[in-house]
Amino acid sequence: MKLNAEQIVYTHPGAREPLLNGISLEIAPGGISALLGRNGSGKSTLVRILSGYLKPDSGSVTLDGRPVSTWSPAERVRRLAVVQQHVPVPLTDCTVRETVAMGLPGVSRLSGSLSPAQKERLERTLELLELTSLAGRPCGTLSGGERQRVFTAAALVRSPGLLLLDEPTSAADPAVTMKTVSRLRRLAPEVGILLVTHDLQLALDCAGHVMLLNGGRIAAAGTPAEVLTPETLKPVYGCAFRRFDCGGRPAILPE
Amino acid sequence: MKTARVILIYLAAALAAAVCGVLFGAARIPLNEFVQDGVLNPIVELRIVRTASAAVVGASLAVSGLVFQAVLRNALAEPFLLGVSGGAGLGAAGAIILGFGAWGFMSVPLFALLGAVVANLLVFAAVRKRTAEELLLGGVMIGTLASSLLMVLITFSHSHDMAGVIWWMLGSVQNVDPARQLAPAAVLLCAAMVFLLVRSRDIDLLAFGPEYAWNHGVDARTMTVLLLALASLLAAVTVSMAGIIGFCGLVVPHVIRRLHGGSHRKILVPAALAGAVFLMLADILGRVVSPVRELPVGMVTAAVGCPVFLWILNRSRAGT
Repeated sequence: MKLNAEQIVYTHPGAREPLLNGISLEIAPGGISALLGRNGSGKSTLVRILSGYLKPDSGSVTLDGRPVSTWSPAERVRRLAVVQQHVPVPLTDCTVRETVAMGLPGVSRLSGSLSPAQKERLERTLELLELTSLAGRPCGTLSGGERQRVFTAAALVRSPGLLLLDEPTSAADPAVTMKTVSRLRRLAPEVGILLVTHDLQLALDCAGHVMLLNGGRIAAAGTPAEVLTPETLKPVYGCAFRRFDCGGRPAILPE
Repeated sequence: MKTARVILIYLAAALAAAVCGVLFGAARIPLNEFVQDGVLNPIVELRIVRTASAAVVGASLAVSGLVFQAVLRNALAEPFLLGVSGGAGLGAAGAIILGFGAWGFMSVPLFALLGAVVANLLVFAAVRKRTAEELLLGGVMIGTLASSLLMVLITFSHSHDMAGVIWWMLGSVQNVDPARQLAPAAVLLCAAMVFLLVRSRDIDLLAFGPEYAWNHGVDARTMTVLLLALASLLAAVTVSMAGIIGFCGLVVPHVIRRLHGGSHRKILVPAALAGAVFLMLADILGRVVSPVRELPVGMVTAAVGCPVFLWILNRSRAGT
């Protein structure tokens, strides 16, 4: 299973300059790719284009060799799951269990009843994301970080081959972030993951491949050791960085 | 509470309201006079049609409002939002003021339906992106335009025509034709319910926003347009039957959501039944409180529904 983007160009309606200008990338199972860049650099827009939600001005996005727009919605989401950065809370307040179950494929449309296999998969996913104790709570009563976990569970419950995560730890505390890192590492051998994040340390800890988005282009790509260096980051973020050893673990901080 | 038990409770309430709707009215009819010589008392017959009309109109408005609020993710969304009330008002007023009412009993409802559908189509045609937000704004614009044209018509109309237009706009279920209005509206409501129940997961997902729905396998743009068009059609048909009855489509969905929450698959049928109960009771109240000159049902729905809704609002907040 593979997601390919070739020479993506995208301009926001009404804008003069393209936000993304010739982006090419590939996501495949077996590793985590991190996408970094400044605010407004087009990371979330790129995720929307990769998922087929937005159409690029030019270029192509293919899922297993076929344009992503030609897949039926059900077939597409079975292969490719997306966890978006902001999800509005609906008026109808479903429980955590109901919200995660919405991600299950093949649920009876009329009765909504789950088969034993679907129930087992649902419970397993709730357990994986440590949501079992919250399963009966309405989503509107959860904190931002807990809600992010619910939406991640709703994406993971159908066991996708590819996963696009748009800032999955932006509302998480350090303990939850560390657990997210270990979960992503466990998933990575079977699932291709694109991790969009502002957290340089998160990228350093769990990504095997890092892309730095700047000025509508991929300014740098490679291993974390190659890309997450003070020399590469300074022109993108406009400030100095210091990379150091933290008990045998590489770390990077702005100075 | 289990969904089946909730539905049974609302069904029992709807049956009780329907029985009251047939039993009570301006005239007191003893039970032994309901059927005489094998013929149904004409007043009882009128009450049956009227009660059934209130049930269908109430259910349609509640379901339409539920869909509007979920898809537009707006607590103030109601069934007439996409130009339906303005268009229907303009159509009905046009029929009354321009003299088309003389063509027959059905001309005013038909023109109202035509006005509602045309206004609705104009909204869909005028808005290029057809996102929920843009459709909502387009609906407000077309609705305002239709209302201002309605004011122009009323300004240049005779006083008796003006009274007819205003009475029609207040909303009433007393003049519904059972074969040509009630039956088609009931069929549309049943068909819409089946479609909405089958698509309830899509409604649940759209309530989280179009991008979230897309990421879970819903063709969000197509489904948004389809659901809003269906909800508007339900509203347009009720307007053509009973005029503009406000409040029911706004408040009943809120009450049902607050009482039962959860997936739309669970609350669609209770919302329809609660809407039916609400309008049947409002209609009974309108004719019992003021038997000589009935209170318009739209006025009763607001007068009764407002305090009930505020009570439920405060009760559920206290509970959280």
